[in-house]
Amino acid sequence: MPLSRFILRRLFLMCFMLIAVAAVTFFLSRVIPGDPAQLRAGMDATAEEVERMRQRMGLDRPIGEQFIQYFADLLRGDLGTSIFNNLPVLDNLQHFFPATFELALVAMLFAIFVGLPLGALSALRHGSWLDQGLRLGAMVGLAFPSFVLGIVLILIFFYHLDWLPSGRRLEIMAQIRRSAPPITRLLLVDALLAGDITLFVEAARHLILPAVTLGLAPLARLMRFTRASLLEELRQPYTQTARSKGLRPRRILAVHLLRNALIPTVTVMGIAFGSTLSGSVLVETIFNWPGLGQYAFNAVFNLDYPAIVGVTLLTTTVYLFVNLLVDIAYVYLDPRIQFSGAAAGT
Amino acid sequence: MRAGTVPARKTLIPVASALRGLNLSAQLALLVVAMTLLVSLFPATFATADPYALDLPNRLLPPDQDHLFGTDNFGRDVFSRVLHGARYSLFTALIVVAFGLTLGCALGVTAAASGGWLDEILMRLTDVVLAFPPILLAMVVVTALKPSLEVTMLTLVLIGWPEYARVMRAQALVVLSREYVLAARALGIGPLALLARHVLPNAIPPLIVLASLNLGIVILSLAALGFLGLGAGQPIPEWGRMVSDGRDYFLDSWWYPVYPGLAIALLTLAFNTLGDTLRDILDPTTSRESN
Repeated sequence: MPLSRFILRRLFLMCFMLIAVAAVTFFLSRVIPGDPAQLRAGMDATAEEVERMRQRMGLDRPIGEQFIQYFADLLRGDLGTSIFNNLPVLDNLQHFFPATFELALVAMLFAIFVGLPLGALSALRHGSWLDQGLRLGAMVGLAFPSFVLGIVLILIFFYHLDWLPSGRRLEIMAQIRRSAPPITRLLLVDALLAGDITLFVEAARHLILPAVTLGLAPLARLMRFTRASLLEELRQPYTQTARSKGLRPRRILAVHLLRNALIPTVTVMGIAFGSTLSGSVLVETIFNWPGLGQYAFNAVFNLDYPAIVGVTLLTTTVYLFVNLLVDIAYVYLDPRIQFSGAAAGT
Repeated sequence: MRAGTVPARKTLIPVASALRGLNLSAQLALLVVAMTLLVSLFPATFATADPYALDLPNRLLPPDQDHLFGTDNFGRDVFSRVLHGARYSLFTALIVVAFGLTLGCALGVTAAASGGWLDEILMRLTDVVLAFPPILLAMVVVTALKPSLEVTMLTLVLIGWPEYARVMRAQALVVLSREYVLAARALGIGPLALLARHVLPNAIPPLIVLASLNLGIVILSLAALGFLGLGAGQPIPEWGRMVSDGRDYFLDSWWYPVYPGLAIALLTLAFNTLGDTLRDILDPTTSRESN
């Protein structure tokens, strides 16, 4: 199957998945006890005002009608109005998503650029003390809850050593706003666009602790995977052949092993990125990082139906999209894999 | 290592010989789990104080001989609270995994055995549940049903079953196509007997491995939901909840959130290690991440 057809097929399947997720979210959000009309109208509103608000929000109509209206709105790209802050949910998402995206991306880069080399080192020094130590480190990294790690990192690097700020994204955002209006709402990019290098460095410093906290579990997972798949490649006959030809180990690694060992690792990257997005709920709480995670948390607690639906749809879309990218990356790394119905299987 | 292959004089009990065959990290992990089990069953025996006793004059005391892990903002002994909290991690995780495994196995076997539209519906259902960001789904469901320990457990079962169901379905499909199943059918065995005698015993090993690896994940998820205020309510000493409570005081009283946090990490580490070991023993072909 050619690439374009594969992608089309997958996008088509993705649409169905999103419709299903949207439907499930709709029914879940209607099961939540509590009265959103009362919340929106305010706690001290009269019964009459609440009733008027219920009519305005369309909550008095039959559930089937609400469901159809909900899908019609979704198709027009209208995610409704947040009950909590009275702004369109789409605007809210545009406001909060960049914070989480930047954090998750930096965390992922940290995991990849530290995890892959450490995993490779561990495999090449198989059985040594270094290998044992790195393996233990990876096991601990997988078991350590992010919300505890964040607290420990703040205690050490912020409170005792005073080397790094403890997250607090708004400080930087305010500084950016002073020099130029934020364009992308990504701290690093906006600081660069403002042409302010000190601000860029300061933004990077603010990102370090939350990104390390969020990235540690994916780092550990990538390390273990890289190590295991490199060890498997090292046992393959072609490695023996390369060795007996007298190739230097570094060249064998660069030319032959890395590419093959990367194939399974790429899958883990996709899964890890997805878990990073949902892990942001915890990390953003600790580091005072007003992103999608905090928004989702507030949405659930304030019974903000439209906001819950919006966050769920956005995260699911990103997650499915990343998985598609992973599948495409597969084929570039390993031409033996064909785009097929099986690979596109759900 | 089998008991029968070892001379009888050296190992009198099969369990002892099995333990000796494990590597050091697995033995340590087993020790941690055994101790947690003991503490979960008899917390009062090991605790040095009443975990619920308020003692406001002695609030936020640093660790010393009287209070090994210090005291919290109500003057309660953190060490005793961590010990009493063990059961809310260990038992709840075991129950969540057991129920998820049972439900997943039942639905997976049903899908494989029935085929057709029922199979299709069940598998698409697993797709949808797996497509959701798990923590978001958990937050919505827990809030919908009012937070409590039971609701948190139920939610984790609802999120956990699809993984087991898919593995079970795949395993059952393989087993169902084997000759011995055809032979048993030809001999007129009933469907339930076929499932109980042939399909389940042969399909189950990878599911045991999966379940044991998931124990650590469930412990972390329970703690995470507790941390978000979506688990056991006050004054239950649930570890995630304790970390969350301690967050308001952690700059000056690090012991309050850090010790329960370390307890979560230690128990998760132990279960992950055991899961890896079990996989190496039962299912050596898929040991991708370890060895």
